[in-house]
Amino acid sequence: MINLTDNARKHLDNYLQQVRTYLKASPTVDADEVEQNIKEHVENELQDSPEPVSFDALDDILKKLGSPQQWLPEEERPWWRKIILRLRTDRQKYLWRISSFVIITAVILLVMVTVIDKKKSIDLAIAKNGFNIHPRPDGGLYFVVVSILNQGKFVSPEFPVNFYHGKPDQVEPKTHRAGPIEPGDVWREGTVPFALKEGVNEIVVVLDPYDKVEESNETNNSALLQVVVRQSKIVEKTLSCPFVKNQENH
Amino acid sequence: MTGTLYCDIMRYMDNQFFDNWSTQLRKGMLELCVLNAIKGTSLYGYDIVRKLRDIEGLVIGEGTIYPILSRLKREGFARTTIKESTEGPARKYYELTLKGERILSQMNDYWKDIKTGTDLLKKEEKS
Repeated sequence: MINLTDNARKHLDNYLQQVRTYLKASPTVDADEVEQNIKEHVENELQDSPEPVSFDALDDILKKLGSPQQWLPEEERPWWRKIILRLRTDRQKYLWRISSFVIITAVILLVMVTVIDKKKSIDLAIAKNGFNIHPRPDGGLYFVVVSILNQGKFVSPEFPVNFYHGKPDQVEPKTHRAGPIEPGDVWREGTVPFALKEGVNEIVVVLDPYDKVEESNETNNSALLQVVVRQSKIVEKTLSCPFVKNQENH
Repeated sequence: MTGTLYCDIMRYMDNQFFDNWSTQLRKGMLELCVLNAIKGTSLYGYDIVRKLRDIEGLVIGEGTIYPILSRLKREGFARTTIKESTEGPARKYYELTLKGERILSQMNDYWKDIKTGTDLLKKEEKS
């Protein structure tokens, strides 16, 4: 082992550290083997130098060896090192390209986040006890009113509302339109008057039935109102909200 | 003044072009030269560097050769043997494998074809 001055020792250690750092990332090069070869190279080169070997004498050898940063082919360097190296060697060209890329990427991300956030920040829901049946003052006929609440942060677009008098897979819906609804606002939509039959009547409402409005919660868009009529009078009302499909069969 | 500046800029651009071109050329040539250096013999890593650095313009950073040796070994084109040395600790010697001999033969043929082609082009220019 060659005797080096303190400065020279530090310089060599620092250089070997660079060798390890730059070659470690390469899958085709054994960094330990290269480091050992470099150590032997330095020792052989300094064999005839007066000891302790000075910083300058060592520096000459290391300069001839060159920077370990340049030893790997470009395709084997990690992407971030490629960028740094290009910035160092061709600063103006790559700085412009990289800054353009960063700005464009940031703008695209911002737009995407805003659009996604906007879409997901709509939540149409049937308000608490917001689906009810009312008798017409002139008697005999009834109408239902649904209160639709936009729980999200953005205005909802216009959307259809389907009312069913009976099971949704057995009867045709009466389609109404609702919206736009401001965040926190409630939209009330009522049906035309209709007659109830004796026994159990099922009335279902479905908001946005074709899921055209992207919402943060798609499970609170329906409700089932079961109305029991005996001798032309409503004797029982049950509201299930949200209405789930298997409840149809109950 | 403007003329001198223009000449300086043009010279700088020419130099940069030459530097890029020679760097690209050296990359491939170094591997060919390392393989040729150990063809039919086994050489100590440092001796390979000494052999190659005498070729004008081939080796810019002497350290470049060591990763090439390591890569050739990993690719199976070269192998190492440890031999005792009278000058210090045991040394690692590099030599070609059969696979290395085959690829070297291919590379030499390829290089020969390119050199013949470029020489021919130069002759055509003169005539």
